[in-house]
Amino acid sequence: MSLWNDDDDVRTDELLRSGRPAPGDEPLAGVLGGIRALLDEPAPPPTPALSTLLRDGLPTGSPTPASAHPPRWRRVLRWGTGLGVTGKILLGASVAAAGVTGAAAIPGVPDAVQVPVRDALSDLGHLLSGPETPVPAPPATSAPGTSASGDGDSPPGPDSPSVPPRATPAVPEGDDERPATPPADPQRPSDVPTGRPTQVPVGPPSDLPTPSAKDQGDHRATPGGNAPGAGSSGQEADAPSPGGEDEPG
Amino acid sequence: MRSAGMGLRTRGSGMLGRVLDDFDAVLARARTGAGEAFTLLYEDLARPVSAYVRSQGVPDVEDVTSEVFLAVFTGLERFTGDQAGFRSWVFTIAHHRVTDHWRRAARAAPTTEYDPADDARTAPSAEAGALEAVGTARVVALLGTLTADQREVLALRVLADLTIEQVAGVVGRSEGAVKALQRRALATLRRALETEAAPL
Repeated sequence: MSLWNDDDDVRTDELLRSGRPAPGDEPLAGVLGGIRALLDEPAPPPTPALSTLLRDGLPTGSPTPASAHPPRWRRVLRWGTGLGVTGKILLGASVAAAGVTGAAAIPGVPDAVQVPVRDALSDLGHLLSGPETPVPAPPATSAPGTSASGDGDSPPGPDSPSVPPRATPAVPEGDDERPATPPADPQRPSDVPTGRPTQVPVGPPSDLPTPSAKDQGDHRATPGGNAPGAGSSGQEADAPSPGGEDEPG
Repeated sequence: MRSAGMGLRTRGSGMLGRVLDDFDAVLARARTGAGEAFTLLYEDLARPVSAYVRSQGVPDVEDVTSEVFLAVFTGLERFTGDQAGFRSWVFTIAHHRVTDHWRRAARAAPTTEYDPADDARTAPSAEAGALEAVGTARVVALLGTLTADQREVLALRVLADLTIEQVAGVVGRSEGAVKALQRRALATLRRALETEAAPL
């Protein structure tokens, strides 16, 4: 900034802050004094709502717009503590099963973890489903090598792709039971029984407080008090225009 | 409402409102919802805020001023800073309330040009003596020759007693832009005064 501008800024600042005009600025100082005299007019009476607030204050512990509703985790916790013993046990078992099976289903988990978990879950499946009943072998038409599209009636020739070894007829398709031995490709997540996480009945998102942008913005403050952009007033209307090219024509 | 005397002292110039002697304690009580602390803060800033709102040509000075303080008092928990920062924060809210007012007014009805003859504030009041040199109506009329941004900056500098940096924070502009707006505002006022003084 040039020296002239610096001098002009100092002169302007002095005029605005103290009202002392530089030579030739007396009429302008008079106008600024008139603006400053607006401070001498009494403040308007507060509205009834503000009067009540000034008289009674805010009740201690009253919910403010930001704390009117507890956070979601606290509501879930409150719901959980309200469950009975059976409900808690079931919820805990469901969460544990979901966690174990979910962890085992992660492809990045090493086989040393996935295989024992899968075995344990398989054993659990056997226990829950009772003794294994013999299943008759499927007909020859569903022999290995049959394509999924059903157009592979002929057995695979020597150039056919290799058959997955786990496609043994002893395991019924669609059954929850899994072979005791790990599949050929233990990395495949689809081979791992995935537990379904228990649905926690939390309130719909619409239950959560959604403070308006106005209140959010108005209350933003930074140390020093400058809070640009506060309030709902769109800054698009106040977009900076360097140079202040908004002087009236 | 208690009197403004306790806990308040005038600023150096005696024109720019008052400052609270123990702002931190008052603010701490206000944060707990104490009405007497609200009253002290209100009495400290009600005049400059209402003067600022009035200088922006808002007709509903009472409503907008009260809106500002309602927002301030219900949002105190989000404020951190000292007394100067608090003043700046309050005027930030006032700035946005004024902007919101004009936005709503623009949607509700077409704007009309300012006519001093329609201004009810031309009626003399007890404070008329302080405005002998430049009457309120003339001040408002002269401010009407400025753009909204120029008027805003000038009011925040003169009425709110904010620094360039604080004004820049309130209006969301750079300090350079605020200086330019301020310079152009004063140049416009000088031209308006010269035009008035020039013989026809």
